[in-house]
Amino acid sequence: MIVWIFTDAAAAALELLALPVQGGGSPSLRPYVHIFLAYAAAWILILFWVWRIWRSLGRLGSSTFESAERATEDG
Amino acid sequence: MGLVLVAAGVATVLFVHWMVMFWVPTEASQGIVQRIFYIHVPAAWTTFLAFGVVALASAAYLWLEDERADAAAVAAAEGGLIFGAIMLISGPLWGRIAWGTYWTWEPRLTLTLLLWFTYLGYFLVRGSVANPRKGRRFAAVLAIVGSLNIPLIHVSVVWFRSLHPEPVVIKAEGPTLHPDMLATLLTSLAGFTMLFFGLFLFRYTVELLGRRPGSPGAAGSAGEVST
Repeated sequence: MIVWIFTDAAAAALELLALPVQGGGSPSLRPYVHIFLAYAAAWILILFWVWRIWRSLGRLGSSTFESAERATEDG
Repeated sequence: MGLVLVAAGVATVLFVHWMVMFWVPTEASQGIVQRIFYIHVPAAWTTFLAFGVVALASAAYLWLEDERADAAAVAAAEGGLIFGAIMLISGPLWGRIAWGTYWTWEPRLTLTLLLWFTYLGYFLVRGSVANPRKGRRFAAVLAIVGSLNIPLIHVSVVWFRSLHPEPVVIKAEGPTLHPDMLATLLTSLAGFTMLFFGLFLFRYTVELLGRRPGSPGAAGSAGEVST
């Protein structure tokens, strides 16, 4: 909901900034904002999944390292 | 293999960005915003594919009690939630321009949201039962029952009065899209599918590694390795 309110606000702000084109009023930039947000959201979510996998792998790596160290200390 | 699929998927999706921005024609009735279609439909396809994999792997787990089947189900469910979120964000952004509203409680949208929450529940069920084995079995049943929603979502636009457009590709009389639009869509579908399977393989490997004796996820081993 917050994202949608932000989207509408951003689109409205961009439309206010748009210059009139040959006296025909300002072109609506709203569709472009929505396209940009849709594609950006897709990349953010995919990168979020990559980050989660990477973090899990890092945790596994460090725990394996710790247990190997402990095993060495224990002799 | 996973890295090759991810690289090919990323390259294909980037190429789709070029096609969407510079190559594909603009749809006559909806205008420029219809270009969300090339990310929304592939995300939906990948979501249904992922949840289909979860159901199959869950059935295999219930039958064989094989850890690998459960790990595959967890990995696919996570991917399904990610691609489902892409679908559920891109759809309303498109709908705001096309329909004048972000959301409406019409059959396809409602059933799709229900599907997404069902697989969110899949993780909650796994974590909420003290006995990990029992949790996995409950979650597997939920995944199989939840997958029955997928064909219903597909036919919902035909069976019920719906604001959502009817299918334009999977139809008895063949696709009714402009050839360039169809090419862009199929390229995007291929890119998303490769990206999903590539990341799925990585996630599956991490899940299996986490279940080895002595690893941090081995004790609970209920798919919470990465949380």
